[in-house]
Amino acid sequence: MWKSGLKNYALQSLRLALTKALMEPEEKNFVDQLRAKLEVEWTAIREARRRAEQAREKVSKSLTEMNFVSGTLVWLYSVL
Amino acid sequence: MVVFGSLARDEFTDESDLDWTLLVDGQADSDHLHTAQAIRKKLTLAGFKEPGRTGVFGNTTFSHGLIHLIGGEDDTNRNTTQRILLLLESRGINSGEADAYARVLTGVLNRYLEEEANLVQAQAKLYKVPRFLLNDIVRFWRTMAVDFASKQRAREGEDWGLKVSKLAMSRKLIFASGLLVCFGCSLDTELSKELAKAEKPLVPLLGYLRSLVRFTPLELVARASLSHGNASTGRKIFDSYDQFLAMIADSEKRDHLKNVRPEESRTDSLFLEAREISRNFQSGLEELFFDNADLYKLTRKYGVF
Repeated sequence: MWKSGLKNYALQSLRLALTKALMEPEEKNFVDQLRAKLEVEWTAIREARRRAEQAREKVSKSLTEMNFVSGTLVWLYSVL
Repeated sequence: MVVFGSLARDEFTDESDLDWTLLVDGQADSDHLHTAQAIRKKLTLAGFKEPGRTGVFGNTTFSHGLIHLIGGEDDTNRNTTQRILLLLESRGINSGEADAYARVLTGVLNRYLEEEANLVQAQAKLYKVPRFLLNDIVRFWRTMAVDFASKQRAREGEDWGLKVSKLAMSRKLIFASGLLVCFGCSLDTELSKELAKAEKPLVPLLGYLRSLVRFTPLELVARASLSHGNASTGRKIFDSYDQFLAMIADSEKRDHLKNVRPEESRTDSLFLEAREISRNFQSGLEELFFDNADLYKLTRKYGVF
């Protein structure tokens, strides 16, 4: 029993380490340059991006209000 | 929770639906249904429009199908759509790099790469275009175009003018960005440098694809326009896309487009304007994919046969 628990733990740790290792640092300079271009020249694109960011924040806030945490069902326990 | 569509693409307007799914990467639990129902209720109360009636969004999705059912009879239209859109137009909400969203993205990409007999070219130490992934992206685009006709027939031409404009612009943009993701594996010089240092070619390639799918389709096309296009190509693509977004963000014009029927496609002035925008967009994409020697070579080799 403990062996299978240990194996699962080791697998999870390995998976987490692999996921982290695969994440390259963001191409911040490129994105910043691109955003600057998009936001200065193309106003409808700029406005759509602004609205999308606002809407995602609203979705995020709604989930937080539900006490919904990604990966768990915390909100259910608070309701029950 | 993962969002798709215009919210993920950074193209949101007041009229946009909210396409989302509760992505589960783990043990099945009967409470998942209640969680999805609670999310739906909360988002509706917050004023968001419910997803369309195809049933692709607004419910629960399990990672198993997305990762394991690529091709074959069990790879339903819904599964293919969710998988490709997860790669090309999605965002995790309140999720970190160790959560389901990041794990599933990595899992799906890894699955595509596992199917390649060789990741690297035989003659030179360069990555090949990942053909399995490319074929699935091409299949998704062609299926979407065929399904457009099927849905129009079933719904008696409802919203025809708006939907055909979206097909020619935002849907085509997703396809173009997918091609660029695949072609980038073979073209990116920084990635080639990583390959030279790597013990196993899979790791840098997977990392590269993971980094690319974080960009929106428009950002991916902009990236390619900067690297492989010229000022005129970029301007043509982005000017037309900006005009398209301005048109569909205007509720009066959007409603007008919705009501245009196929038989009015050569007479309705707003639809003709939308068609001109989509032609300019297409022309910009053609310049990007066919006028640059590197992209042309790959488009010719992988884009048709």
